[in-house]
Amino acid sequence: MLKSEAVTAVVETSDVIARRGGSKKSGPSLLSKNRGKEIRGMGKNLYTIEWKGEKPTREEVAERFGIDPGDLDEEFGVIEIDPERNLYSILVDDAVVPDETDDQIKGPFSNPKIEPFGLE
Amino acid sequence: MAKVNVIIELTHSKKLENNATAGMESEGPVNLELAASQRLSMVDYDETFPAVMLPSISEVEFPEDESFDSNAAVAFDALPDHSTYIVRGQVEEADIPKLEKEAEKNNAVVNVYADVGIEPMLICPGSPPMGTDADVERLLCTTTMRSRGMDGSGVLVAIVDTGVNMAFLNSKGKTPTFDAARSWSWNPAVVTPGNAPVGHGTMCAFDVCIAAPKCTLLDVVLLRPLSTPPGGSLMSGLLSDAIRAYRHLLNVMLAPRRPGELRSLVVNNSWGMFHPSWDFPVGHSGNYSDNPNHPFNVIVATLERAGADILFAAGNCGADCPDGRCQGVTTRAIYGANSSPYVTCVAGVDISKKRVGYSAIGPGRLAVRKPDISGYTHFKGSGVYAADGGTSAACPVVAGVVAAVRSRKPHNPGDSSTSASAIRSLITSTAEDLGAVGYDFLHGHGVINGCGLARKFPFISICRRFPWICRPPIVDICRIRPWLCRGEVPPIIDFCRRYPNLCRQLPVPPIPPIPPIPPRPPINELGLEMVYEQPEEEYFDEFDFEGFEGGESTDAEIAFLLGKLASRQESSANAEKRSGDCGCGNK
Repeated sequence: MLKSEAVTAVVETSDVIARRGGSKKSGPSLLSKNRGKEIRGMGKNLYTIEWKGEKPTREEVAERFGIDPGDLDEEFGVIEIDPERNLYSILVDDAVVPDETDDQIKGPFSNPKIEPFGLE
Repeated sequence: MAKVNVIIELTHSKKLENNATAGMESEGPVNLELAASQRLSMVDYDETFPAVMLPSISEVEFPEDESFDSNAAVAFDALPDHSTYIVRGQVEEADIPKLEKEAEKNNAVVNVYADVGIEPMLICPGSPPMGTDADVERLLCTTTMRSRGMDGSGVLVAIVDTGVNMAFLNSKGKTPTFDAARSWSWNPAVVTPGNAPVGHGTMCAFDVCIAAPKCTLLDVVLLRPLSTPPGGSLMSGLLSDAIRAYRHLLNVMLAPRRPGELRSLVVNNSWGMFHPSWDFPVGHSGNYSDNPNHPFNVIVATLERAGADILFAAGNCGADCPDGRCQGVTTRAIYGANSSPYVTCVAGVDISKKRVGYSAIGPGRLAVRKPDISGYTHFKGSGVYAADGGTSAACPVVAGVVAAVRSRKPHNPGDSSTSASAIRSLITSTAEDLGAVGYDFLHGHGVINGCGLARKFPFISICRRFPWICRPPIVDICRIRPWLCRGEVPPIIDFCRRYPNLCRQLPVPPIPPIPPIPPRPPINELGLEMVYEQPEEEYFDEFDFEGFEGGESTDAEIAFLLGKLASRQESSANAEKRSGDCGCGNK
């Protein structure tokens, strides 16, 4: 059921794109958009993905993203960050992210270093 | 015209000597006593400032041997008649030349000096600690808070940091409950929550316990040792680790609850970014610092909506003496979630309530009015470092106070007055204003005010905290205090008359004339029980248990009670039927 819902979501999205005059593709990469190409090559970055229904698996997200499940950071996984907006976050190596991705996928977002505010 | 402050040095006189001696020895205020001949006409003397004796100094000849000590080159003479005396006052700036001439002519005046304003030095990285955690406790009125049930009990406090060492914490006298099951580590195989090496996270936990000694700690081990420290901090992490940690905390907050269970979670974050170069450029859609749609900023907002009180340190990039990692960038230096509108952003002040020089200054990047509030820092506390310093320490001090408040005002999803934003408003509205009047970017709304917050929660609601006490049937006074119901005379204490605040909603009847002693009535008809018929919350909220004392009844009270009993004689037959149920018996 999960998968079928995801597929429905993809189809709906592609329909919307088609109505807007965009190109409708059968694969998971649906919207032509350059996303922060100048940032690429900086290692793993964060992406968000909107996913209605139950929490998606890594495989489902990877399929939607157009990448191999192994390219998603395994330790990070798929993290729900806003249940009200059905928003999830993933961590992906920028080297494998396709130039064209689903409209529901946003990113890359920075993954900066953080440090304690103690005194040196 | 502007007035300037001056110090006037005077020669010895008996009057000045006596005045100076009184000023030193008296415990109360001493006014200035100065002869008219010693006064300068243009000076407006500070009459509340008595003369101060200055011992005379004379040079001594250098000894010729090799054991010369430069400190011995001057000699002090503290004899009163060899000393000079200083007094102070104000003079119009334009009159200073005239003053100098008048002073030259007056033999009683040695010299006139400027009395310049002085301020304490700013605390900077490397400064020695100022005060101790005991001073912070005093400033926060933690004793008062605890007496009113504000101690962190029943409240989860997550230390999102480098890890907590509970054994060390206990050795320092801090014994909060530790919840291992709800703690989290970036890698439990490497760092077990509660058993982390003593460091920054342990300091934060200690500082939370200043105001919330009975909280339940959750150790959320986020920051880890860098394998190859590039000359900077030894502990570090990535924001994606923080997203994982926050998802864990969201699970804690959203986990199923028992019926009636209230769950409060305070989240302390004494970490963040030090320089914009760590982030995508401002304006890039994936930027973290200025972008509310960044995944971490989104999950912070989600956790706050779920009811968690989230506190972030403002950072150590204050303009006066910033941390080296700031690389000189001190404007708009409160980055990302540290400046989120959904968190409380904490600046740092020392125990003299002066802002520490490294505390980052607003405005914030996500919300303009950041920091929200100031907390105490740079004091000798946990012993992890020479000083519990940085906004790192200020943040958990405030987090502890928030946890203490939550003991009395736990988060209830159905009650908007207990939401995280309501608590944030409560904390900032009670803050003690510092610096410019009202909000300012140095101190926020002012320094956290535990004393003011304690006043907001006057007394413990016994019924709320210990509902079994108030559950009906309440108390059978005759069973637990049989002496009250024994003997010829009925119970001698009328609680309502003796403690009218207990029964203020009941009409107090007038005192009738003393009637003849009636036959003993059934015990359960006594007026004692009406005490317990009050609405429980109102009754106990108004009741100061600290001031409660028993005592002898007055004649008027006994008369009132006897009159009341006489009026019930007619119903004694019915009452006797019920006497078997009252549990008292006639002993």
